[in-house]
Amino acid sequence: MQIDEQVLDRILPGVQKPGRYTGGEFNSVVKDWDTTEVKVALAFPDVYDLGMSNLGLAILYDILNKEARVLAERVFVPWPDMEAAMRKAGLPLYSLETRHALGDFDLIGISLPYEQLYSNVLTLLDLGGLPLWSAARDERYPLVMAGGSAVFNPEPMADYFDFFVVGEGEQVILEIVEAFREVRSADRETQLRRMARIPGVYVPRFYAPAYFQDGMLASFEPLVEEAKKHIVKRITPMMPPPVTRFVVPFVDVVFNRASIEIQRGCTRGCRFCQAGMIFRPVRERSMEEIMETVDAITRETGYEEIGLLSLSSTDYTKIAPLVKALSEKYSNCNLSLSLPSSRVESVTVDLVDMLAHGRKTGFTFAPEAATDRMRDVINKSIPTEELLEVAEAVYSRGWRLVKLYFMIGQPTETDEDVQAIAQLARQVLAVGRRHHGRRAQVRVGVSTFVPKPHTPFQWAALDDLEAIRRKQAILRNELRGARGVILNWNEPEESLLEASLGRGDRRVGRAIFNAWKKGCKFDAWHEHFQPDLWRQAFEEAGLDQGWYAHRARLADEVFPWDHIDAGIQKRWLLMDWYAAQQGETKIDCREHCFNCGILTAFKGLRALTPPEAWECPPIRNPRWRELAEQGKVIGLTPGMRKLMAEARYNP
Amino acid sequence: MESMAGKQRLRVTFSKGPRLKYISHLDLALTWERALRRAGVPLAYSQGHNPQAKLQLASGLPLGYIGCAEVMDVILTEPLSPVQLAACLQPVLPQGLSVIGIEEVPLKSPSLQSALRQAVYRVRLETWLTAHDLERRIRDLLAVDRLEGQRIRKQRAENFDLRPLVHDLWLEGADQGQAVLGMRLSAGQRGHARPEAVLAALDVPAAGAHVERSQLLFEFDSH
Repeated sequence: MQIDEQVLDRILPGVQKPGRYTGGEFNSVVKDWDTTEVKVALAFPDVYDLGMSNLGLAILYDILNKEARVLAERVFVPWPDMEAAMRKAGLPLYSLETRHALGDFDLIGISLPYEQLYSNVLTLLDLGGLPLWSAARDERYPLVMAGGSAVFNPEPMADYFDFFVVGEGEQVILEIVEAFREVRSADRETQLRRMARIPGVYVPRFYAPAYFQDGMLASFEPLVEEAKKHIVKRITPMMPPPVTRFVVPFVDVVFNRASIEIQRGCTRGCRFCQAGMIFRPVRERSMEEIMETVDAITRETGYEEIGLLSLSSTDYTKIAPLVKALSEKYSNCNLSLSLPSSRVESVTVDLVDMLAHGRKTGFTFAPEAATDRMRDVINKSIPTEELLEVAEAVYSRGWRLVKLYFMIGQPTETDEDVQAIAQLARQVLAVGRRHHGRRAQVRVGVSTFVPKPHTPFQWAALDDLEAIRRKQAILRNELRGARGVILNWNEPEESLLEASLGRGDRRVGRAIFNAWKKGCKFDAWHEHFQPDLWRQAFEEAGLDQGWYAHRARLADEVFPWDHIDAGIQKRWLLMDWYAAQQGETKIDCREHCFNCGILTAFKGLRALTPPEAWECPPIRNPRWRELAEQGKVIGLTPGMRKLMAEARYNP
Repeated sequence: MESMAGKQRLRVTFSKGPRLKYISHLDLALTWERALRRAGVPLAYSQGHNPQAKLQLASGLPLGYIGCAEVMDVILTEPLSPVQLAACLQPVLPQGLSVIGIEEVPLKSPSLQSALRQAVYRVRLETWLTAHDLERRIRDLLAVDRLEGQRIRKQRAENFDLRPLVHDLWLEGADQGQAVLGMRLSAGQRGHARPEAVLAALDVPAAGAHVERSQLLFEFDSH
C-alpha cells in the first residue's frame, strides 16, 4: 500500500516539523518498486532527527542500494503528534523514499543501539501493521531483524524479532539478502532455518531457556540442528569502504553533519565500557583514505561539518599528521572538522586547536573518576596533575568552557570518591579563573554507572536509587556556591530502566509489552519517560526490576547473553573483574596483549589480514594462514579477500 | 582575507515545488548553501568565528506554500557567469528545487528584503460557493475602505487594517467544489499580508487550501 500524498497533505500542516515525514532529500535513493527484487526497510526506532544521525544505518543504506536487485528505504518512528494523526487517519507507518507501508517490504532491519528504544520498536511494528510477536508473523509478513550494540544481549527483545545480526553488518547484510532470495517463497520455519545457517545470525525461537526456581537462568539450549550453541559476532577484517553519499536532511537534525570512522574499536580496556569490548579488534583507516573521503563527502553532500569518529580519536596512530594535513587543506573552505572522544592528553589540545579555527565553544573530557584509586578500579588512569595541566593548556588557548564527564556508582565507590569529583571540578575552575576570571566555566556531567553485558563489570550491581540520589546530593552540596560550575546529572530511574533491560532475560519481553501497552514511548526523551509505568509493567509481568538491576551476579552464573560471543572470553572478563576489585590496572593492549580472546576467536581472519591493519599482534601459526587462504574462514567475501590481498602484497 | 570578499552578486529565480513545501525558510537557506557547496561555486562567507554564507532569500515562504518564482541573491568571491552557475547547480539540486533564471546585479544594489513590495498568489480552495457568490464577496471586499484583520505578533493577537495591503483580488474559476482565487498583496518590510487573512475576510475556510506564490514584485520592477 502506497500512502496517498493528498491524505498526507491533510495531516502534515498540523504536526511539528513536517519536513521529517516527506523524504526527497539529496542523495536519498528512490528505486523502481515493481522491478526491484528484494525490498529492505531500514528502520531506526526513534524520530527522524535522531535516526538520521546514525552512521550504522547510513552504511547499510549505502551498501544495499549499491546492489542492483535490492532497494533500501528509511523508516523512522513518528513523533507522538504525528503518530496520533496517522492512527486517526488510519495511515500505516511508511517509508520515506516511496511511501510504502512497512508491511510491503521483504525484510525490515531495525537498529538497536540502546535499550531505551525498545518500547519504540513496538510502536514501529504496530503502526506498520505487523503483529508484534515473531510467533504471530508467518511468511506473509516481512522478516524482522535487528542489529546494533544492544543486540549483544538480544534476550529482552527475543520474542519480537525473527532474527538478530550480531556484530558488524557490512558483509552479513548481503548474505542475508542472498539467503532471502533462496527462501522467499518458503514457509517461515524454513526461512528462519536458512537464516540460522548464516554465521552471526541468531534466531531466538530455535533456543529454549530454562530457569531455576529462584529465577536464575539454568541453561539455554539450541532446539534445531541449524542453531549453533554460540553465535560469534561478525567483523570486517579491515575497515570497510567509507560512506560518502550521505543523505542530506532538509530539516535540522541532532548531528547535522557527515561522519567518517577513522578507527573502530579501542585498546584502552576501560572496564565499564561496552563499546571498548564488543568492537574489538582495533582497526584503522589509512590516512590517505580519510583525506580522500573528506574530499568526496564535501563534494557529494555539501556538509559544512564532518566528524572524525572513533572511540578514542587521539589513539589513531597518525592522528597528528592527519589533523595537520586536514587543517591545512581545508582552512579556507569553511569546513569544520570535529574530533570527538578525545583523551585527556596535552597533545590533544594542540590537535583540537588546529581544527577549531577560532570556533572555541567548549572542550570536552571524560575522566570518569576523580581519585586515583577509583581510576585504577575502572582502568582509566589519568592522574589529576595531568588533567590540570591539560585544563591549563585548554584555558590558556582561549577556551572559556571545559566540560568534564564523570560517572558515579562504579564498583567499590565511596563517598570520598564522589566528593573528589566536586573538588576536581573546583580545581579546574580555579585554573580557568586565572585565565578568564569570572567568565571561566566548568560544566560537570555526572552520569550513573550501568553494568553492561560483555564487560568486566557485567557482574556488578547498579547502585540502589537511594544511594544514587545521596551521591548526587553530595555533589550538589559540595558545589554549592561554586559560581562557574554547572552540574548536570540524570534521573536515577533512567539508569534503573537501562540496567533492568540491559541485563534482562527473555521474560523481560513481557514487561516491555506491558509498558508499551500502558503508553511508554520515547523513553530516551526525558519529557516522555514514565518510570512509574515501567515499574508497574515489570510487576504485572511477575518480575522485579531491582532483581535485574541491583543484583550483583554470581561468578559462575549463566547469563542470558552467554550464547552471544563477542570474541572476548567470559573467563577473561571474570579475571578482569577480580583485578578491578584489587585495583590492578592493565595498560593499553597495543603495548602488551592480555589475550582477551579476540585473536583466538578470529585467528583465521587475523592470519590473512595485513599485520598493520589490526592493533593486535599478528598470528604466526602457518596452519591458520593456510586454512584462511583455502577460504575456510567465516565471513570473508570475495570482495574483501581481494581488498586484503591488495593491501598485503602492494603496501 | 581579501580573497574572501564578495566580488559578484548573482540573482537566482527558482521554484520550490510541492516536494519541498514542508521545508521551512531557515532549512531552505541551509539547503541552498549546501547545494552551492556541492556545486563547488566560490560562495562568499562573512568573517568571524561563525562564518555565514552570503546568501539572501527575498522572503520566507510559509510552510505548506509552493513558490513558483522565488528570488535569492548569492555573493561570490570570484566571478562566474549566470550560465556557468546554472550549469553547476543543475546536477546538485534536490528534487523540488529548480532554477528558473539567473542574472548578475551590481554588488551594491539594495537587498532583496528591503526592495520587496508585493507578492502575487494563486489559492486553490475547497468550497461549494458558486462563482457568482465568490465574485460578489470579492467586489464587496474591494469596495470597503477599511477591513479589520487579525494577526499574531509577539504571541499576542492584534487587529490591523487589511484593506491597504490588498492590491488586487480576482476569481480565476470555480467548479465542482473547488475555486481558484488570485491575489496581489503587500509583502516585505513595509507591510505584509498573508492569503489566509484575505480568505478569512472573504469568510471562506482556509483549511485544505493550496497556496502558490507565483510572483514577487520589487521596487526596482516598477522602474
